[in-house]
Amino acid sequence: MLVVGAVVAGLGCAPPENSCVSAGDGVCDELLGCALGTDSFDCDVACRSGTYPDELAAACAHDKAAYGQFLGRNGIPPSEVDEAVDTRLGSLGSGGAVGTWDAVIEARGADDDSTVDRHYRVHVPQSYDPEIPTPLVFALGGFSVDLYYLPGYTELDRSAELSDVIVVYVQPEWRYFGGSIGWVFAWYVYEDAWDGGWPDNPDLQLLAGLHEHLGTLYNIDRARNFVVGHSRGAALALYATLEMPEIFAGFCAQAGFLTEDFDQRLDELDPVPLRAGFLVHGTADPDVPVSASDDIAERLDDLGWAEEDQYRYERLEGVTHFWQPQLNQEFLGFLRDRPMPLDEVGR
Amino acid sequence: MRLPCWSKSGAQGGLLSLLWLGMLAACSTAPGDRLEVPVLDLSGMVTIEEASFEMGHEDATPGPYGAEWKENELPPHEVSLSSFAIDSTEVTVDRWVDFLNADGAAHYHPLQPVLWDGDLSDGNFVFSAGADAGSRPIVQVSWYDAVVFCRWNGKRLPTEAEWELAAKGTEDGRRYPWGAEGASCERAVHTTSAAPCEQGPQPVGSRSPLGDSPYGLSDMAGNVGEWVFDRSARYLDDDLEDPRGPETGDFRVLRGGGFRERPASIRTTARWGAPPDTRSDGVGFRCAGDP
Repeated sequence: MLVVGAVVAGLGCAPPENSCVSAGDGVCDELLGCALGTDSFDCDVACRSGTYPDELAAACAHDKAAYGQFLGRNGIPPSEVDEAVDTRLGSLGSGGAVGTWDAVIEARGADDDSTVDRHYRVHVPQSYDPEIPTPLVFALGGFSVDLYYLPGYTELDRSAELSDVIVVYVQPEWRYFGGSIGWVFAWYVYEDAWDGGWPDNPDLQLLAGLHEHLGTLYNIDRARNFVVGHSRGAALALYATLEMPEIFAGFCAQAGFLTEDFDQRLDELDPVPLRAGFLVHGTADPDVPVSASDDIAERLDDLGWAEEDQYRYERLEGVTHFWQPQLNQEFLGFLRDRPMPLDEVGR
Repeated sequence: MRLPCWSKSGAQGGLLSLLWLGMLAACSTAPGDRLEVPVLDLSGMVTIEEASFEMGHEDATPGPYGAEWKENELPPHEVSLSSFAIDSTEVTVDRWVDFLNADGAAHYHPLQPVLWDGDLSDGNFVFSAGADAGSRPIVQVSWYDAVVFCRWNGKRLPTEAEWELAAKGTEDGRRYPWGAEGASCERAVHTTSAAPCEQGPQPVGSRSPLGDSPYGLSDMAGNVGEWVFDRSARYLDDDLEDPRGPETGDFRVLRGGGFRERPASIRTTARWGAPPDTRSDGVGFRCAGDP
């Protein structure tokens, strides 16, 4: 209401603040007895308490509607957007296409000298504005899961629209496991599966390459690149954030795990920069026991990540090995609120 | 048009969005006015009598990989509701435009399917529905926008329990508004396992009567997700009579799913939360009232 008054005053038609006959009595009367904007003192106090009765919601909504339009995307006030849109924060890609599109990128294979085509799908929200850096979220499925199954399974398209993020669904490589498994889509999460060490991991290199490529197409918020995954994809999401903290500001690992070889790798990487993490695991998971996420949480503690500051753990009673889409907005909000420090972007 | 200060013609959005600020209060009402609370008009609404029903998912047994229920739908619990009325359709762009032109200019957003025309110099400008948009549900509205619109009509947002009762009735705990039969494009504007039924929201009632709820409400599954009053949280054990959800929380609940959602997310018990200032091309609302 104070904001409204200030703006309207500039236009020469402001309603006098606190002109309501009962202004200043400690009760917000807007809409119930007085016009919106005329009991500012009482209503500001009531609305900002965060808890208000239904009857007050409209007055608070009015306040919020006015205030909300002062905020650009990512909560950046418009007056500061120009300053924020620099090469540290925005990748300044010039594209603007919204909706869903599929593409292929050439990437490193398991061997030093091999290349493979890797498929991916991008969902860009309708609200995408090339003038404003937009967060990028890589989504990785579990063992044997085709990327084209992921949008429906994770419901991240909807979340992209609700949270103003670009989601990139990435296809694992088509690999032969022999025995009863045969050929399946699978991420590289065990170190003996490719030539070289962890920096040579084909999937990590793919994510880095995609990040760079998409940054030329869209104006990506370089402080808000995240990677999320389920099961084996969750393991890779965790690895990607810890291995490439200059790219990824955080991860969400649902029903994930930490392999012994990457656990050892963490000792080599120590100290790992603080980033953001969101763990989800069901206590009734028959495929990846919940103790796997318990172990990740413990390892994050060891790395100096504080629960609720750097990571959150949703340990869900009775839930099986299943992505929990109803938590999409929560983990996206948690991650979004924890951008990479600007002086660490791309470093 | 009660906006005497200024107006603008030409491009939508940009700096203009900032200038819409405060008009609801500043220019449409005189300082210190005593406002009349509008009388509830029941036309276009369905009255639902006092009732008890089982809210939440009917099966608390953990499902296998790929099961369609979600953890936040548990546990099923008996809820009692007082009589209420609820809009039979989602709020349309035409109705939203009426609101913008009357008192709601501050709730215009450039992404809404709304046009405007006028002149800064003489203070006359008018909102109108975008091409072919009038009978479609309004989208790109925040929870706050929805609250104010309903209030302007003498209504309010439905509670989550009211919404669920209106979607499935009291008899059979049906999975979809029309019954147990699975979702199809004939009954709901959604996205099947193969492809979207439509590329965007359709005119309200486009799947009536096949897709209607037991009370005759349209689009309770699909078309656009709908804001309801409650804050988003796991169900509370002690909130069983006219429940209104928790008193604190950052998210508000969305129900019904939209054109982009899969069958599992347009079920009568499916719940979703989002920050109340969220706007999306897949989110709208309908209002309720107390007859």
